[in-house]
Amino acid sequence: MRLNFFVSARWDKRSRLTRLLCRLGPTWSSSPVRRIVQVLALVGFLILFFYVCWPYGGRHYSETLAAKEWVDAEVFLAIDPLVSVSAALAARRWVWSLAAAGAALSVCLVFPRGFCGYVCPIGTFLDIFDWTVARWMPKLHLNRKAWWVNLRYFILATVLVSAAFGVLLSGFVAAIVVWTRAILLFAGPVQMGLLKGWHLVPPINTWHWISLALFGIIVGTGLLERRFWCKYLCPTGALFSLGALLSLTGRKVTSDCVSCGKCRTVCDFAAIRDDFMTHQARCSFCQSCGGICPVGAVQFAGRWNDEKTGTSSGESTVSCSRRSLLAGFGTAMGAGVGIAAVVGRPVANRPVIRPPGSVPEEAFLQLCVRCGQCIKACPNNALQPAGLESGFNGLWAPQVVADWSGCEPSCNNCGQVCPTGAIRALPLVEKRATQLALAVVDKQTCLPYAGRRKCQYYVDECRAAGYEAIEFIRVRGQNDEQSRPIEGSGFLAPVVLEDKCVGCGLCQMRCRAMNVKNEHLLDASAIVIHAGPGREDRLFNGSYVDLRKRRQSPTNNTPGRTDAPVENYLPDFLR
Amino acid sequence: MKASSGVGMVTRPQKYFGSKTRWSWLLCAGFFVVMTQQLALCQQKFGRVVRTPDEVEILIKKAGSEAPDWWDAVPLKYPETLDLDWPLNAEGDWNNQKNVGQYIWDVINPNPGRWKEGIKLVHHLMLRNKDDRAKLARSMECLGTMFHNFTQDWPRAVFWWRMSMKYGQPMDQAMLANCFWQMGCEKMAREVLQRLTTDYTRNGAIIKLWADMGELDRALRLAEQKAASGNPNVAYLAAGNACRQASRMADALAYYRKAADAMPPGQNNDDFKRARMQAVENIAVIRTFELLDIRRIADGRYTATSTAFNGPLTVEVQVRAGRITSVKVTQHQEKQFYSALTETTRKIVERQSVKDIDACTGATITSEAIINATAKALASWEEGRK
Repeated sequence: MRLNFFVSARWDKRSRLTRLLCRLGPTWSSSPVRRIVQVLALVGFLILFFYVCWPYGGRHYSETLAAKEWVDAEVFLAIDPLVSVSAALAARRWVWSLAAAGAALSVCLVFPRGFCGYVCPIGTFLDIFDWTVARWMPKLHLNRKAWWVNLRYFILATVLVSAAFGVLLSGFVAAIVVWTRAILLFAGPVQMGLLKGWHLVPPINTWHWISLALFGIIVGTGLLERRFWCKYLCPTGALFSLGALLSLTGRKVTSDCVSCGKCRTVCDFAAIRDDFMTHQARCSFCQSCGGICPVGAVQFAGRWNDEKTGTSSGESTVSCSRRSLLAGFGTAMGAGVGIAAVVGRPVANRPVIRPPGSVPEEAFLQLCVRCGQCIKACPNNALQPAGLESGFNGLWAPQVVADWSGCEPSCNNCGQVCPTGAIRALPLVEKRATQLALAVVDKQTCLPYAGRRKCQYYVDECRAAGYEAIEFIRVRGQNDEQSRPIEGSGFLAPVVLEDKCVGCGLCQMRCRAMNVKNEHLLDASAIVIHAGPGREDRLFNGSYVDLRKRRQSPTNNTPGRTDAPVENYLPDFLR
Repeated sequence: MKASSGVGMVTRPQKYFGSKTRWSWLLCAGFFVVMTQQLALCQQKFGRVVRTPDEVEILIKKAGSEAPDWWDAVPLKYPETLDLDWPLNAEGDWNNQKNVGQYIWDVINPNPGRWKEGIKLVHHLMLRNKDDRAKLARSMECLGTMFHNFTQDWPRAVFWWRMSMKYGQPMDQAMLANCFWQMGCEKMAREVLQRLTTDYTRNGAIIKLWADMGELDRALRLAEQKAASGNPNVAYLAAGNACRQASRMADALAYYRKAADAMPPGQNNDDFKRARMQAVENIAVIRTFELLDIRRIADGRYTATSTAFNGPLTVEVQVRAGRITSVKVTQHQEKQFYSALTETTRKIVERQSVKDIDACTGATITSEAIINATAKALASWEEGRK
């Protein structure tokens, strides 16, 4: 069985197409299939991110997304195995994307580490960075046997150990997550500003810059060496490398090899040994070496198929001594436990408002990989990445910023694009019954309560959204000389009906937009949503509609009714 | 008289709700205008039912003795703290969680969603306190008024008012006439109205009723009389409404002008202020919507601003050869409801009108702001010409 996709250097290269490929570079001409797949994967990612997750363009947000979602918008995140494995480990729950990750890993049976070579958008981006910027810079000649060569395994171990202790670190290091969040923070505002107006771009805070800096570091390592991140640091890649050990296929070198060393130069993944044999765990099956080999000595075939190879392909994966290996893993364990102990402590801050359908907070932080996909899919940027509001453990997790915008009633996008189920993928009718917080009126500042002026934005807003959870109460009424309350005197002030309020925050947004920003009557919105126990519904499973019905059942909220006699509408004495 | 007048009463407003004669009257006042306006609309749309006096009597008897169809679907709800004895004179400070009248005034009245619940509560309390004749009469009168104001259930309103009369509670004649008129019997309505020589109502309800029945001259006479008797703002507003309803826009504008300008002699409530505001608004609406003739507008671009969802919204309207050629939202701060920005403007150009444009579903506020701003922009031509 052969799996050769490369274009051999020995073939006739005089056609126009091959000359074009040669001009693009040796990797294009030797393994064009790989480069084309890479481009397609990157374009696919960008389409999913910028087009499918762009919530606008229709009247109805959830239908707009559903109509565009031919492929799950979160598919790249789902096939990053570190995302689902670490989340499932941290929360000790089944995560649906484990199945997708399993599928991605099982592809390793045929394409060992093919994800890194063909699909990973951050890898492709690093290639583009190298092609456009880094190749013009002087390169360091790094020792390929230095201490960092196996660092990615130790990072992986740290992530998994801390996940085992309930703290999820993949948001900092998992390839697709870092990439998605970087695009979210960097390109998301640009898209919003250009297509819809810069007034819709929320302010950027320090933690956004730190996330971008993290991405900058990853890209910056490309200046040290081509794909330094992928070779030595990426824990997702490390997981694929472990998968690659089980692969049925591999790179073979036949006895025709003339030891020219071209393959070692072209290899992006430091997968070729000094004897030109293969590091099975490192090879991404990109096949550039096959195309560049002047004598056609490199073949990609089944690993059992040894008859043509002069030497064994070598099975050793981790080229270091047992002692340093143990030390490395020991450090990783220690780091994992240490980070979990420091970061995982509960923080007694004000509870942060999570997206509708979020699972209970502890599990939410264990499942949320901080990819920011929900934030991208959220219309009006009601969801924004958190800073340290709920501690370091909650960094970059989504929170509802109702001062900026309320949660749109015709939208359930955040749950639909969540790769780990930290936000449940609820049908719209369920989402509309989900309480994410509770609106609370500040009677000191609220204009009608304070007797300053009429205001009914809150009721209009709540009614327009279809919740009807705020009603009027007359306050500060006056009486005339005969002690009659004067018709129309006083003000109608808001009362939040706790059994109906879902905490969408539209009232808060409206109060802020009109009374704070527009009229300068207040310093802050007088109606503010608050999360916390008793103010939010956080379920792992089950129906929010049913929960609400149970709560609203007449025996629950009309205590006066039980003593009411069953009475005729028109009793006999009136007939 | 007990302590029902004098300085002491001012500090004890709750006494009012104990007074049998006044309190239902009060309840009705707030909703009367809104309700009658809505009804006028309904009638224009669907035409009127006409009934003979006999048919009306049968209707009152039949409907009155049966519960309305929504009765079983609405739960009986009230705060636990409510004093169900509902004394004729409430004790203590104003407390809308304890005193039934104050609860109805503060909580039930402002919230249409609670109106049916309020009717059930009053019905429940009526039967609960049936042994006290005065309370019974008060509750029946209140029930009738609620059926009238909240659900526009005319036969049941009359039924309960008549029932309360048997127990000694007087009935409001203007509201009674309105019920007959609404039930389709002009004859009965006239019989009641003819006994009323002046419009004693706070909102000019009798003037309005005469105008509704096509007696514009009579309505205007009553209005002048009411104006002379010390309620010029309310009277002229009602006269303006009457003219407007009869499509006499120039007269309507003149009366509204008077309603807006008149200074009332020493008034002790805010009725006149509201009437003035309403008159000013109506003038603006007539100018911008009803008298707007796009064909007369000179070519050019007109802009105007109106308040939308998230702040001011500015439109630019382009008129060429008496047609609206484009409506563009040039400035806005909207964060959602984007569909309105394109859809509403498209509809205005399509229909060549700012009237009867359906607001976009879920984007009502933005849509209405665009419609208003467009109308204002077009009307600004008139002002520019002057």
